[in-house]
Amino acid sequence: MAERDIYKRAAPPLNGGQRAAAEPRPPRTVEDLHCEFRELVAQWREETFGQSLAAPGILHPAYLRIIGMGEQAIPWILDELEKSGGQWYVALQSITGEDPVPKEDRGHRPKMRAAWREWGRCNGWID
Amino acid sequence: MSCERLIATYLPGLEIGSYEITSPTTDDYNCIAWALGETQRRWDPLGFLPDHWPEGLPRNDQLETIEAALRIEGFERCDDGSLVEGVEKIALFAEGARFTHIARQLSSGRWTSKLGDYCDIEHELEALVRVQSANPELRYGEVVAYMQRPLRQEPQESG
Repeated sequence: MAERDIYKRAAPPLNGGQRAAAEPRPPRTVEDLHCEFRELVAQWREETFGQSLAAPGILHPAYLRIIGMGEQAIPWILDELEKSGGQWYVALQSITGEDPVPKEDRGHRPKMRAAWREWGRCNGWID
Repeated sequence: MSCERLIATYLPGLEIGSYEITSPTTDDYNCIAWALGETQRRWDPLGFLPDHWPEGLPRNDQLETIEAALRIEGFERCDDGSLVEGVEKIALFAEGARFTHIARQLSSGRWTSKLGDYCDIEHELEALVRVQSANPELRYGEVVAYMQRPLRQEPQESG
């Protein structure tokens, strides 16, 4: 009985009892994603300016969102790394599950960039 | 993204004309490396990236950890940042016990800093103290320690 009272007091459902249909999200094009990527990179570079250690940049929401883009972002990250540098190695490792940098070259940025460029070419992500 | 604009926005203590940009933008090294005169690798205790950090030292950003690494490189605490012939001095910045930045003294008595993944600058030390940045995450805090070592060789004045 008490249970039934509770039901009576509950707010009436929307649409006269029919479940509201969610607005379908329009599919995002590659261009949309690329545009978002560029905005995130600009935000990331701006908001991590002057940071002495890499950690705040890697934990920055824009950086994490780029990781969340997955494989779609690989060629864009490789291009960004080549043109402007940046600490993109964690993102690339996180997305690909790989680390092509030889142990002896770790920490040496020009060699790390070259290793990822070569990996990108060998795996068909960049020309 | 120009270093000048970012400095004007986020490091307002560095007034135009009071500092010089002395290197191109590069992420090949950071301020710890630059304080030690290195431009081929980054020093980073936190281990997110495969950067250099002396083996056996803790992996954290506490001032005492950074000091321990600098002692391995021959630095010892000193009283101040006054210019002394034959001595190389560095200034350690921190917020509380958390390390934030290092600047290195030049032979002129001015200081040189590597600004994250951007450029090196020559500046007055006070210009980086208690930065009132538009970015609340960018706070170098105070100079909390000076360290020195005998000048072994002429350190790089620009990157």
